[in-house]
Amino acid sequence: MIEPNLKVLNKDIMLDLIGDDPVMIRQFEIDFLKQAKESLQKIILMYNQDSFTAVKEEAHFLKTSAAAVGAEQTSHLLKALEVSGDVGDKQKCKHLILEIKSSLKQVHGAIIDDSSSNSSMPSSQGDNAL
Amino acid sequence: MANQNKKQPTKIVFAESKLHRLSHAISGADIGIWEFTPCTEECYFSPKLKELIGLSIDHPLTLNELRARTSPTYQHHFNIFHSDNLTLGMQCNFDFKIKIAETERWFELRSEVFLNEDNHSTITGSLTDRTQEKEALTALKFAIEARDNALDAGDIGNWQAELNSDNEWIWSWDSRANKMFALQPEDIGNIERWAQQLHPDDKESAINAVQHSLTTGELYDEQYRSVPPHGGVIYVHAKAKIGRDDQNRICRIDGVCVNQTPFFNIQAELQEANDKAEARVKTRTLELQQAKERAEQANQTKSSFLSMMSHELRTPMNAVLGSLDLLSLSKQTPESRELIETATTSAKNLIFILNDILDINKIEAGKMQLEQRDFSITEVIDNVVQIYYPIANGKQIKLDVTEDPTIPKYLEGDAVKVRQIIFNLLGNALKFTSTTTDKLGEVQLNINIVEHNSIIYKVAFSIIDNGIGIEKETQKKLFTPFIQAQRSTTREYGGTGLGLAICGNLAQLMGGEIVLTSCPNEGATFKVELPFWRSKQHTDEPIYQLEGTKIVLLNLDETHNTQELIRQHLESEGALMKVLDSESQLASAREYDSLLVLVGSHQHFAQLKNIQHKLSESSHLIVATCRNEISTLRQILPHTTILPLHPMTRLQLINSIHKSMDNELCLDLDELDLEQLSIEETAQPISDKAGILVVEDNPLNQKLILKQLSTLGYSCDLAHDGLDGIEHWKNADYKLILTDCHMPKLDGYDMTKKIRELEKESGEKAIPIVAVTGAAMTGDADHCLSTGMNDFVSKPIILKDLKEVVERWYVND
Repeated sequence: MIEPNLKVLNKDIMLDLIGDDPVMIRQFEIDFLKQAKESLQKIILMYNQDSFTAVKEEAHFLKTSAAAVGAEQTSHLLKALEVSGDVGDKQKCKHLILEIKSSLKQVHGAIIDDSSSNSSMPSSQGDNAL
Repeated sequence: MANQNKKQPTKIVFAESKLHRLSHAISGADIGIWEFTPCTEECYFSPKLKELIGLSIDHPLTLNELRARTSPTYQHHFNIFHSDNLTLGMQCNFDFKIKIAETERWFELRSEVFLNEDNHSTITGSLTDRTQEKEALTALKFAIEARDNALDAGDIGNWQAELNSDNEWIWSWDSRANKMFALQPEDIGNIERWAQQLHPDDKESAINAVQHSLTTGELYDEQYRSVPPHGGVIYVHAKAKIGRDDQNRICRIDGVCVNQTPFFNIQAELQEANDKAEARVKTRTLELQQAKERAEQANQTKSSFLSMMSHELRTPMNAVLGSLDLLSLSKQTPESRELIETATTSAKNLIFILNDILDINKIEAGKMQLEQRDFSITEVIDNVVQIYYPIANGKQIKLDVTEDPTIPKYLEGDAVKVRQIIFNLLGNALKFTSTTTDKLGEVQLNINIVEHNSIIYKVAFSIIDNGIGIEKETQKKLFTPFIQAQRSTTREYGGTGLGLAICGNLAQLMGGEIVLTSCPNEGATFKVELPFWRSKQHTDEPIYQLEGTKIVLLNLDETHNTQELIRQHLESEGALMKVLDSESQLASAREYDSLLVLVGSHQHFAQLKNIQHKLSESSHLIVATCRNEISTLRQILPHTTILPLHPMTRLQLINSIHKSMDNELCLDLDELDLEQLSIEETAQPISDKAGILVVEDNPLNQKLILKQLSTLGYSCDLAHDGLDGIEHWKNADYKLILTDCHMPKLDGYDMTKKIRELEKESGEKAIPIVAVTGAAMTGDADHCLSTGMNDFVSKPIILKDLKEVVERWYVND
């Protein structure tokens, strides 16, 4: 499901977007995690209610944020969820939600590691996380 | 003389010849001749006579033999021929019978006394066969006698008229007809006398009808009345037929008349009796109708009053309940809280009673309507059990539920009424059952299919308790409104006695029935059998809710019955089941979606932690345990799905499996602890006069683009969706709009179309609008341009690209 060349958290993306502003980048990353947690809870709720159109829309919403902060794997999975939600494939949706959760945990881990080392991680940090 | 002598033989010959011809003529006429001289006893019998009496012509017949051959009854007639009283010219004629060849034949003997040439008195005569005439006469006599008997028996008169030679009608009738009209014997044939006695109203038509028949030859058929001299009225029905002569001219009429007075009298009496009966029935019906209307009116008044009172009382009671609810939320002393709880319970009970009164009134008034909709019996059962479990638990009563695994997911019927019946009966069972030191109170709810076909399912709901029971006598009247088993029952347990009446009526209304079996002190069983239609609406839904789901079951210490019931329920929903004998087999459960562990006692809870560790990440753990152990279990396994047992409903079981499989992510998100990642937010300066309007619903993207534009030196305003964007555009003079495409309320495409419309209407210059979208599908760019947008960039937009696109479209005045 995950493309091998996609990164858990690609730091280059934020650099391209806003330039070398570590504090701002970190803020965006944290904002993204907060947003992702809320959004994933909504997705699970909608999934449990079999509201697949809503699952699709919420996945689209979070996808752009994930792409913005460089959470490439999460963004890729959200795009897949958008497609599965569109066709109402419950089993696939379930599988993708599980994977998104897992990928978010890795993004979370990457950000924590980054904050503990207080330095930028090499761009290949999460490549083989899954 | 010679001539004379010559002539003499000629005369003799002629005389002999004449005699001979005469003899032939007589013989030809079948007349026998005989002669007898008493003094000499000489006799002569012609051959024809002998032939007539069956003798041969040469038979030497004597008068005595003829007498002897005569039937004894008639032999005495022959005595006259030996009598001394024979005088010249005397005629002796009589009839007699002789048996010839076993057949009796009638003969007529005619004779006259004369003096023969010897001057002796001689009798000579004839004999003719009269059998045919006699038989015809006898038959005629019988016929007349039979007719007379029949006419006598039927009191039928006979009448006729004949046209005489003067062309006058000569009338006559028999004595029966004469007697019928109460006429005198001398009145027979006097048509004037008959006509005089006719009833004035019938006279003309009766006479005209006779005239009509005599003229036309048609049948005479007339009913008329006659008034006899002694009074009264005779009802006569007369019929007659016309007779014609050989020239087909009407010459006679023959008819009968029947006295129908007795029949008419009986008919009149019957009519009178009928009229009287009808009048009585009418009066009685009117009385009954009035009584019924009065009763209905009274019942209606009573029902209206009860309904109105119930309704009027319910409204303030709801207000009381609401107030008590609010009061309970405020800080109260324990005593006050207890009082509030008592008041709340009482108010709720009152509302239940009022609802019951409203229901029984509706049923009695025939206004209770049934709904026919798809519903789930398992949901109804689950709902009732969820409500009653706390009550059963509070009374320490063991409440158990057994549902037939083959009950369909949906049936068509009235869910509310079914729930009402089960709710009421289960409530009663719990009310009249208790746990004592000697006996554990038990209430069992069993649901099973009695029978089913392609149209209907008949389902039995059995509510069994081991409570106080009901005596046989009182069982009969239990389903009557306001009747409870005994007065002492009402005193001890309360209640209105409406519940069972409502249940009985509702079951009947649904085409079902409730059967009660009970013995005092041994408990009661209420069996409700209700028919339901097969669901017609859910035929396209999947039949099985767990189709293909692989579930492994591990029973640590629960009963085999519970294990089997759970297994049957899951298998009936299409789950693929495997039952493990022990925890050591867990490794083989890795390929399964869920592991369901049955554990009755908390002593085995410690084992559960190990089991959880051994599970693969994709398998879900569900633990089924007794309800009173759930809080303990929750402390050990806070995130595990728990299935409550005893009672367990089918719905809870299925939902637990679904929940364990569907909701796993929800729990694990707590792992994303963001507390440690908090950072001080830096506020974004917003310029006073913005040149760019950013329309974006995603806060992160908003923040990002604001930062980017700020970095590039542009000031901007923010709108959260298309509608907000239009409002901003109307109120400010922007040089560029950057908009997301997918947004709630109004998306970027429709916002652009609206702005273009408004610009056209007002003749304003078109503002550049650039789409910034996460969708990067083929055709998206074309779609953006088709709605009136000027350009299109994909998210995330890197700073360099943003600078380029803004510089391209941002127009300085």
